[in-house]
This record gives sequence, structure tokens and C-alpha cells, in this order.
Amino acid sequence: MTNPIDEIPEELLDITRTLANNLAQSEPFLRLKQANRKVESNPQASQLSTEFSLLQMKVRAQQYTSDYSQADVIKLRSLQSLVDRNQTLQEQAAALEDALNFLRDLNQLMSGILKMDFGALTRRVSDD
Amino acid sequence: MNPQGLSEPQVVPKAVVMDSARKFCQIFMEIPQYKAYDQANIALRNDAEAHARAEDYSEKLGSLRISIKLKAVSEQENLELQNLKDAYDQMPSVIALNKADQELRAVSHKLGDILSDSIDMDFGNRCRQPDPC
Repeated sequence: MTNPIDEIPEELLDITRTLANNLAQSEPFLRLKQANRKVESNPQASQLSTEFSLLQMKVRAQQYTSDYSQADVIKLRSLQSLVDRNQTLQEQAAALEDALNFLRDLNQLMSGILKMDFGALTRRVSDD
Repeated sequence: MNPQGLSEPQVVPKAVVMDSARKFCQIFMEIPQYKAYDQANIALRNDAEAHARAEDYSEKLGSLRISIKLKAVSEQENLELQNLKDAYDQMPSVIALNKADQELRAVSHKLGDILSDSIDMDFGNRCRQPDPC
């Protein structure tokens, strides 16, 4: 079977790499990288973020089954409040939001030119 | 230069990123997979028979909507619905579009991977517009 990347013209690969590099070096993504590094180097923020994410996933999973734990929900609310008051995590959340908005603008532009949703084309599993 | 002697990352302005995206699109639209998809799409749009079959399936589906919701579709009706769907799916223009779609997606997956790797996040999933709800 032919590998699809073998069929991609070098010119397209080159411009994709240029776009990828430019995107990574854009202000929102550099700021996100910086915010992520700040969280990683702050043990308290890092631990809080991990704990919150894990519990959030657990509670979401519980919503699909009927195995609902009130204690987990209360703990999640308490962690949410700590996350909301943590400056480093708030900066990270704001940086992520800016980066995602940038990504959406980019995809909107590309999809307008291509007359098809480019982001959807790149998704491995299409659920739209 | 920062105190560690490392050069500061060069910030690429938004206009430059968008310009490279426009150039990307121009080249993407020239690849055979995009052209094949575009042509297959036009062919299906102009295929009256395929439209008629799609209409037949859609009408049948519409007539069964309540039964489907109530999970009360008979085996006969289900078979009829499936046959109408198969009739549409087997139209040459539909087969051609599906094939072109798969081939275009295969290329796009690889390009999406390059973009995702550069930003450490899944490009396709993260560029979706937020749910308006």
C-alpha cells in the first residue's frame, strides 16, 4: 500500500512546514508555550492542574454511567475554586483560549478559500 | 539575546501566518486529490439519477422518523430503507465522490499531523468553533 505522504508534492510539504513553523512562532502560541512552562515549573500549580483534570475526567465519565459520586462533585467544585484563584493557571487558561481563537481564525480562512472545512479533513475520526 | 545567551524566539506576526495559510491553500488546490474531489463533487451535483435516489431514501427515512424514534420499524421497512440507501451508495458518482473524499482525507491527515506536531495539540480537533450551546 502506498503511504499517502509519498504522494504529497514536496512543494505542499514545504508550505505546510512553513505554515506549521509560523503558527508555532506566532504570538499566541509562544505565549501558550511560556504559560505551560510556567505551570510546569510551579509544583503547586502543576499538581493542582493535574488533580483537577483527573477528577474532572472521572466525574465526566461518571455522568455517562449512573455511578455518580456526590463527594467527587463537591471535591471538584473545591478544586475549581482553587484553580480560579491560581494566577499561573489563569494565565495558562487565557493563553490557551487566545491560541485556540487564533487556530479557529486560521481554519476559517483556509476553509473559506478551499470551500470545505480543512480542520475536519485533517481529523482522523470524523464525527461532524 | 537573553542572559543565558539564547536568542529570543522570533515572533511571527498574524498577517504572516495568514499569508502562509493562503499560500498553502493555493498549492493544496493544485494537488490531484483536491482536483479529483472537486470534480467528483461537481459530477454528483449534476447527477439527476443520484439526486432522485437520495430523494427516495430521504422520503422513506422521513416517513419512518417516528417509528425510528419509537424503535418500532418493521424488518420489512428496515430492509426497504437499507435497499434505498444501497441504491444511492452504489451510484457511480457517489462511489467516485467517496473514493475522492477518502484520498483527500488521507493526504489531509498527514498535513494535519505536521501542523499538530508544531503546536503540540490536535489541529483538527482544536480548530473547531466552540459549541454555541
